[in-house]
Amino acid sequence: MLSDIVINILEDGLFAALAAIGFSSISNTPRRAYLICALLAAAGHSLRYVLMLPDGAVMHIIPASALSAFAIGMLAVLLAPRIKCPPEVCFFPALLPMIPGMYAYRTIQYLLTTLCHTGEEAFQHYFYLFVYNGLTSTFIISGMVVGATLPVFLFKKLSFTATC
Amino acid sequence: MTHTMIIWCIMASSLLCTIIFRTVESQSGKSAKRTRRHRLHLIEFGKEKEIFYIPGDCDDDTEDL
Amino acid sequence: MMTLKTCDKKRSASGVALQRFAAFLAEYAALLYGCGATSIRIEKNAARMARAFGINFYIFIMPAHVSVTVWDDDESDAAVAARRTAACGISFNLNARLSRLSWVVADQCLSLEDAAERFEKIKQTKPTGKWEVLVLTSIANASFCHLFGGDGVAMIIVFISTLVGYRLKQIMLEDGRDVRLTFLCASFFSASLSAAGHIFNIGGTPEIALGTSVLYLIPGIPYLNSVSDVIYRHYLCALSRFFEAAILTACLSAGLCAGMLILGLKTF
Repeated sequence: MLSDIVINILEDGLFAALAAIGFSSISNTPRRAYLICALLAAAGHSLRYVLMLPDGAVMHIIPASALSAFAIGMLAVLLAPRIKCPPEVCFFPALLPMIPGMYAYRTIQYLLTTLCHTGEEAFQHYFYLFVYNGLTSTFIISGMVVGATLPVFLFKKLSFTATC
Repeated sequence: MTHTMIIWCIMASSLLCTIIFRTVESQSGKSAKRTRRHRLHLIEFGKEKEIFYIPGDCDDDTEDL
Repeated sequence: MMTLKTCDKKRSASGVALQRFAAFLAEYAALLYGCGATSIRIEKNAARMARAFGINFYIFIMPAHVSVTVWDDDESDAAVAARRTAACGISFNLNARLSRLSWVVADQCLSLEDAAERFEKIKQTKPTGKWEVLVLTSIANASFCHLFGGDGVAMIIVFISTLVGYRLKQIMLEDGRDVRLTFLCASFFSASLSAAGHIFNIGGTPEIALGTSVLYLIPGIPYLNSVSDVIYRHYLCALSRFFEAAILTACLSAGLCAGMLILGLKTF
């Protein structure tokens, strides 16, 4: 049972790392940052997986994302100076696998579906789904950025001198 | 074959043709020689002048199709 | 307002026209904004260089323009330069190089001419190779599919649909098409191709393949940048970035809906 969980965590980290490398390449991240982005994404995503486990902390996705982003931010502030890059160059691509993409585009879809229904019950149902998806995606992204930026605030000097 | 499958096959094949055509075109280097002026656009945005024309504006149109 | 702190007391704004300093800093800030840097990074980097040049400096960052004002110590002379923000696409490589330049200027007390020369070289930085990005993005989206619970077949479907959709996006952007239309078309075709799982009954998780096929188009960096700008009180830039990202999300959602409508699928 425990070995299954460990394998799942490692698998989660591995695929998050692959996703981070791919999305880093879209953002023209320097090649020397790929490995660190992958490492940060693996650490953050697998931490979020652990925090959301039904047998574990059973955390909601919003605080779990914020805590994982904080961990990513801390690691980014410590590792970014090694490759002479600002921490944002490392943690922004690492956060991308955790971006709530499905919540974001479902927000728009449910908005359009709401407009297509004139009956009160159906309208309220789809409106609830629109608001739920919209608020969830907004707060996940906000929580992630606040969590990842906190270490930059705490270690200001280290963050803004990373490239020298 | 159902209706949906036929539509899917048409969409997939049209996309594949577009990408193959474009790849062949870029390999043969024709696109480098062709300038934007000579390219025929089936759909394009109208010129600002056409939308915001005010009587008295200069009629001298130097942009040819 | 920045306090005056020069590298060398002999360096002063009187030797070089203030206008050239202002122009350089405005161009630097405009490029940094265009490559996706947060507003606070633009402020700090530009201020660092202004301090090193021995001039007072103020920057006004707007979504489409950057305005820089510089003046000398005794406020007898001032210059203003405004530049349109560059539309160069997000590039963390440029971001890192430009940030490094600001530190090199500050630490090595570079002159304006040397700084401008290095800046011109940085502007020539080539983006990541398009085929490399294409393959890595497809692998990334397939990994995403797995993270959402997709099986091996769903991952292959998503890989192929992302490969084709992203190639279409590259072609349309190379042709200079509007980015919103590009997102709509790319998401339409990606979603339609990934519906193969449903249509031909392939694999065990076709709905996950369909749902994750367009995730590579989600504009994650603008969303993150907008929240970062809110934290540092650049509300105008934050709103601008948020709206840009929201409009692109709406376009990709519309493409996905159109694809599902034409193929007669209902997954939501």
